Amino acid sequence: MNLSLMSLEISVVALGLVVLLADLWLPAERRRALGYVAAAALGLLLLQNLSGCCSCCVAGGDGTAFGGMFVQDGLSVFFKRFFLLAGALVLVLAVEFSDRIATGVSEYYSLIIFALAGMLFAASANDFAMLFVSIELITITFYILTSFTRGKVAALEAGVKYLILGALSSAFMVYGIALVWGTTGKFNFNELAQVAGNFTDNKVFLFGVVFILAGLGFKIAAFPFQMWTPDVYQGAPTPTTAFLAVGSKAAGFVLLLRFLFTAIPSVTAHWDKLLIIISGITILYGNLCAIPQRNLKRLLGYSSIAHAGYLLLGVAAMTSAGQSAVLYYLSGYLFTTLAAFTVIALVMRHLDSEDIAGLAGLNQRSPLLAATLTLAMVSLAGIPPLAGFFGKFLLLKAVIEQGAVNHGYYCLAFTALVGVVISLYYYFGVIRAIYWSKDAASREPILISTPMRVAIVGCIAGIFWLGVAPGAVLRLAESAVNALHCPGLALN
Amino acid sequence: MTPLAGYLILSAMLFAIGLAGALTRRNAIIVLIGIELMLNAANLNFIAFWRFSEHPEALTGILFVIFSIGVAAAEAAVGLALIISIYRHYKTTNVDEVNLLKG
Amino acid sequence: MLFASELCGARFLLSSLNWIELKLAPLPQVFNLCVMQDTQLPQYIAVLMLFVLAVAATGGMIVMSMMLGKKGRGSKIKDTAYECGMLPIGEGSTRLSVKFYLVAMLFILFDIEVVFMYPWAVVYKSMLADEATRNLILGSMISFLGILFVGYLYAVKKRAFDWKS
Repeated sequence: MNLSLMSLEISVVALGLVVLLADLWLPAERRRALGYVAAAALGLLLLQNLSGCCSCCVAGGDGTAFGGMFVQDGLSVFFKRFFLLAGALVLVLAVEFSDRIATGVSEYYSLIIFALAGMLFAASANDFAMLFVSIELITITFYILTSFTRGKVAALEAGVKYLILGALSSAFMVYGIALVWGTTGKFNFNELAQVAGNFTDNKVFLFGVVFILAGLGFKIAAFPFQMWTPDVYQGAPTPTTAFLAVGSKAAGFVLLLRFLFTAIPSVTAHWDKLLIIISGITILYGNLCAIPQRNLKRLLGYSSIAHAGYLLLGVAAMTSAGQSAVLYYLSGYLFTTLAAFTVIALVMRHLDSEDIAGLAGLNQRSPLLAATLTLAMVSLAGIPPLAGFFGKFLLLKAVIEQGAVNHGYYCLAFTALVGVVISLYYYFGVIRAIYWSKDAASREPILISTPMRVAIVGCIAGIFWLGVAPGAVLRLAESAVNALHCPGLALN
Repeated sequence: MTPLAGYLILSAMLFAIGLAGALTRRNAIIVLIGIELMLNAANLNFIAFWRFSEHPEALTGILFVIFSIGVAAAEAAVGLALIISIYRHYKTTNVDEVNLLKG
Repeated sequence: MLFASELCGARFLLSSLNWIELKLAPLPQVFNLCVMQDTQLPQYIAVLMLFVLAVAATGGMIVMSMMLGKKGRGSKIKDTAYECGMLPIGEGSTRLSVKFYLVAMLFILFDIEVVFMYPWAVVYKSMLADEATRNLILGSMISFLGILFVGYLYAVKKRAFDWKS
């Protein structure tokens, strides 16, 4: 038993509990700043994790705990840093948003931290029990986070829709796990991989795998499990939406990668057509439905479906190049999406709806925010030299390389390109609203607090860094996905 | 028919009934009950597989059921809270009438 | 003190769980399970007979009343509740206080947590005897209860258990 592997998770859970307890004794006016304290604590954990980089690259830092349930390898370390960064940025955004939360500001912070803990566990899940518990920890906290502004009817409605569809998908997942476990008798992914080859013709087993994939597909908002996305994105408070878009989706992807390529590689190898079709439809659905949207958060909800489709390109390619491209794309998506939602939270402060028209005159009100949102949209659309472009390039490259194996991959790459072209239309619609719309609702300059400014500049730096100098992160991603293919971890 | 198959068929039927309830009923509470039925169908599956497995002395199946029950309880508590808030606003728990967000 | 009381609690749980262990030991394999079936199934014949009798009695009454009884014509006004000739207002069921739901939710949560103590209690003795896992078994339950206690404290401080207000 190696409890020290879990020190990060333990500290994050402890932080969440401390924030919850601090709420009981702190005077109300000081609770708001608790978010900055929590964000700083997460930043410190991240720094500590980064500085411990050299020790975890060598074999000593890797290992398993709880009988192989919990695995610490390159992939989990990569995603843990990802989640910590996302959590810290979302907490800063939540402090900015906190004046719109009527009661329970510190509960909001602590729920974000608990969801983060779930994501950290998801990054290390190597067992169906761990997968299930971590995914439910994320999802159930998000039900509450979604309808946290319970005075707003839209938030409540979003929460109920998320709850019903989420509970439905988790029921499917539990049933799937039951079938897979019943036929193979294995919970552990590494053990399952050894026997999964014998079950490729077993209908019950395959049913179980499909049900589990349905549950994971819900988390990443892939077609046909995407129907909750626009409603929840629109109705939820903006920091929740940002965390949902970045954290929850990435957690879904790390679990999907581990499940498909560590647990059942022999089954996945036969399912290239299914993945190609799902990826293609998801891209087209997300992009086509985003075109008529006028609500900015709803638009980003559909665009997030499209991005799930792009990310599935890398999964469908089934090569380590594709998987490292997924990791790279997610890193770019982190900075881009958080930047976009931060701007939305700041600009739409006094507006009831997040209509695109509300962006009018943003250029005069705050050039920094206008530039940030423009960069975010351009990066999401995939224009060089920003993060989104290089990520899409890597994903498409991985898919086209596989074209020789199966010609479906060429069709998929073409579909993705069509999707990118469609997406240019609505992303540039947003940019046009910022710079070229006539009647601005307000000319009042927007005040940005210092921590917020730091977060925004950090996001911009990240967008440029990942677009211009991809080397460092790409190497990290490549070494991370090695953990999927050669799980040479001795089970303790 | 082996006894295991009997249990599996029962659980599949329970799952189907729960799914039908969740998809066709309009009352949010009944929908949640349907989902709970689906979860319990999965739990029955676990217990049946565990009981008739070659190594029933390993309690893995039971343990998963315990986690599943715990998660279902948390889900039910959150769900109940949400539905109460919805009822306060809309004066209904009918999911069809809760349709502000669309497009 | 804590240790001793926990030990007592665990022993109590263990004794109540003894049947699990008893059942575990002589468990047959999947395929020769029919042997066990043969010996057990006849015991349920009484239950089956009761079931058949219950279905027959209730079903028979419904069918007979449908066949023999007079049919009235239903209308919407006939289905309304009779309130001394006044038109009924509002819902038939009394509204319960929201407090009731709050207590129900807290009950579900704290009640279900106990379920995790059962498997813990089952392995407690053997893991305590083992030098390697001695600290782990106690520590895991203490941390679990600690997290629960934070939740409890939160509920108390937020006056969730306050019935009067």
